[in-house]
Amino acid sequence: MSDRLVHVLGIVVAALVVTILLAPVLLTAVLSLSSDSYFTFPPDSWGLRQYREVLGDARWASAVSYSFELAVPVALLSVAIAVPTAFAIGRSRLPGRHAIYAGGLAGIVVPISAFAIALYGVFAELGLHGTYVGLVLANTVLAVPVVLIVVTAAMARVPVELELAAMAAGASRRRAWLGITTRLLLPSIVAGGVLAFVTSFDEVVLIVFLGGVDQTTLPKAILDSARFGVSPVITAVSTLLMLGTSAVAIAAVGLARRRR
Amino acid sequence: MTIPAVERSADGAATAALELRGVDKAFGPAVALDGVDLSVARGELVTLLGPSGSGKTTLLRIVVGFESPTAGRVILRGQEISRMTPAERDVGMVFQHYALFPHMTVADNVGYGLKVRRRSRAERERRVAEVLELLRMSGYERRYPRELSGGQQQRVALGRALAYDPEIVLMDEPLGALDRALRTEMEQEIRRIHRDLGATILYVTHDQQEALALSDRIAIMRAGRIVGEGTPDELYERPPSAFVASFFANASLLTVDSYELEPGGTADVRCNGQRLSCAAPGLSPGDDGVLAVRRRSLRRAGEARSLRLAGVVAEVLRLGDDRQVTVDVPGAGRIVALLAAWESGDLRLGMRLELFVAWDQAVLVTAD
Amino acid sequence: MPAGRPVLANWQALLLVAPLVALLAGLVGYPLVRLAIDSLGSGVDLGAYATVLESSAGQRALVVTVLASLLVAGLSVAIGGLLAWYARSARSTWVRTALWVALLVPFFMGTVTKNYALVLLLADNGPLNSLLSALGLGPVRLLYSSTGVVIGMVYSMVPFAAFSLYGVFLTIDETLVEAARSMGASRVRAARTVTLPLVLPGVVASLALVFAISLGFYVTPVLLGGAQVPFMGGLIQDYIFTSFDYELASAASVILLVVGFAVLAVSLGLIGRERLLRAVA
Repeated sequence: MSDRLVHVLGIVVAALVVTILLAPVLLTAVLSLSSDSYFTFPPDSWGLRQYREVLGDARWASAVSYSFELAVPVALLSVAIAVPTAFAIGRSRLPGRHAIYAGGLAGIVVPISAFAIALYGVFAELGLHGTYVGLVLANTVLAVPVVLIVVTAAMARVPVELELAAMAAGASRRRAWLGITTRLLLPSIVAGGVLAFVTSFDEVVLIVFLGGVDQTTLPKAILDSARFGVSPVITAVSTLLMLGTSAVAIAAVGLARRRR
Repeated sequence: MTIPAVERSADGAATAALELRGVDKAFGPAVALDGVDLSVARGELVTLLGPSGSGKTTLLRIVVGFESPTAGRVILRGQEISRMTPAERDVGMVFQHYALFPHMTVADNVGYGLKVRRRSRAERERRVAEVLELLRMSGYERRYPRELSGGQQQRVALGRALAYDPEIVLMDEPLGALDRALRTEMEQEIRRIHRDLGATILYVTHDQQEALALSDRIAIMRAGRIVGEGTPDELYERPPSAFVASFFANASLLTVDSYELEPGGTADVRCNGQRLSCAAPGLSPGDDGVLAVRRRSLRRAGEARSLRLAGVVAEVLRLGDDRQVTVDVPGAGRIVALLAAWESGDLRLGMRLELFVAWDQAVLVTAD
Repeated sequence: MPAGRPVLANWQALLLVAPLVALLAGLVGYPLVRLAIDSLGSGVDLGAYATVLESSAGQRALVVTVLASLLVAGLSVAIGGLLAWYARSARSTWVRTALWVALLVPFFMGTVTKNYALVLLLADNGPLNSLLSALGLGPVRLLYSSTGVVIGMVYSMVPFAAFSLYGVFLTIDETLVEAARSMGASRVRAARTVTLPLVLPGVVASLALVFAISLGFYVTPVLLGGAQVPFMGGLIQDYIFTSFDYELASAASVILLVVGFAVLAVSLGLIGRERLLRAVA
């Protein structure tokens, strides 16, 4: 097959895929700007009516605040768990550390509906069902892999020589680590924490299975709304959520990838 | 060093395998190559010698086809190739870090170019065996690159580029990753293979010793331009500029008080209060001139018509059987001399020392 | 251990990983073990499994889930691989930024908003169908069909596959491709004979991972497929919230987990642990 042809074809397909990937986002955003009280595309009328409705409705506000209440401790907890683990994996010769790393990734790899059920049983037994603590712990399992991946990758890029140099100059090992290594890792740690926050903020399956009736996060509120009574207001909520999490996440990824 | 036979056409002119005319290359505002003209005759080994950043690798990549020139022409076998893909050009390339395919055996690596050219299996196997024998790697057909030492990998890389008899072979600092002993060994290997095969080779290196050992001709590059070109002897004994004299010929540069050009490419030079008549190739009236004196040209005893340089010893280095001594000569500059141990006598820091250079060993060159 | 090298003693490392190990043991290990035990009912009894596997609902859900996941894995890796390839080899920063944004936005969009947006897009009177009708390809039933579900899942998994394969492509030395091309191979041929064999293990790893994750999907099949496209996730939810039968739910979950782990184990055997881990990061 001719080189040029394949090249051109590849670019066309890639461009198509990029458009398709961004289409739903754009669609939702466009629809959120319609003033209709029903769904049509293209919208018959335009306006910010939906946004005003959303911002005025207390239910959405409380859903957002509950999402924050969960996501912040989850982010902090996952950083507190993942960063020491990253140190142990990157700076020790502990046998089995690779297995521990793989285990830490379990939150991504295990099928989430099965995992939710597994937790359901345990929570029922321990009375954690429908509790704040239960949800935080469950979400942490999901968020830890994200922080772990980002921080271990960043740690691999910090050459061991830097720590050796500090120690040769007289610093104790702890000081070398705290002062130098952690300082260099800071952007990645922050990025990891932010991504953990976003992961938890977006999470819905665990809430459905493990949350109580009154524990409604924003995604759950949208889900309920979408399943039971559809109102175009959801498009505004979705757009805000999309933009919010995407912007934050992209900034975090940019931070993590920055070379010092 | 014998010079291998260079193919010549009926009227005696050497046929050029590769010609570069006015090649420019810019990466945005940065100029990598500026008006490069070069030709390589069939069967010649020409080296591009220069420090990092001189543009030599960029030039090589333009010949292969991984970069295209901003201006100028690249002519191979009489054909303009600047617009062709690498695959269409019929070249062979040896990379600094070998770039052997890790998932293929030595035989498959060496035979890759032949396979692409759709040679029959029988022919491939025959040719691979031939090449491996030439490289003294017979019997390694079924090994994988990871099982080989650095030197062995480099031989395979060389064989891979030679197997399909390309029009020209390009080598990008192939010995850079080897240690000194291995490098010397491989230099001899490459010279031997070049002689046996008569291949046309364009070689890139920053190592002056390598260039001296391997080349029929050397093109010295600096900041994207060719600043000197010729056989190793020519460049060594008659460097065209101060840069080439110091970078290539290991010469010290002495300030001259004045000089007068004479017919026949010589000059009457006044230096350090003395007069000397020496060669002055490539000097035009009005050029700034400096006197280039090679390390080995300095002696402790002087003959008639020698320049006498007296000064204070600033540094003494023992280099095996030689002594390298640095002397500060007031009014002329700092000179570095390489003396054999038996003639150096007693050398101490701070002592006064007299050195002499014969008139036919010094060269007046343009200052940069 | 030589004094002064910044290497932790094993006991110190152990302390550092203790929180993670505790979390994993308590919230992953123990629950999974318990799940397996519960599914066996009182005494070692495989009745729950029998019920699930013999019921038409259970069989349909399992078949649909596995087949869809296979399809999704294949498509996501193919498309994601193409994007990752361009992200790796594109020279213009514009192109690369566009690709990264196109991959990151869906990735971080959030499951619900993502699927909801797809509901809007794929609706019978939605923009995609309007476009198709205008082209004469007629309105196509996308929502509440397996096509829609597959589209939705591929949409979610393409970024994941792309990131995973990007990491794999980074390990390929570009000079190898240059060497092949200098010897006469066209770009396509160089990709086929040099790059492909070297990335194959990574591709296998990505396929296995995407498959395993796809098995567990819940929101997408529910929103885009409804009752027409029964997935194990939905079945499990029915067992819990409709039939209030925890035993059946746990049996179904274990089946799902076994299938997922089996595929991961096979790929682990094929390509080794290092490569599998590299595909995740």
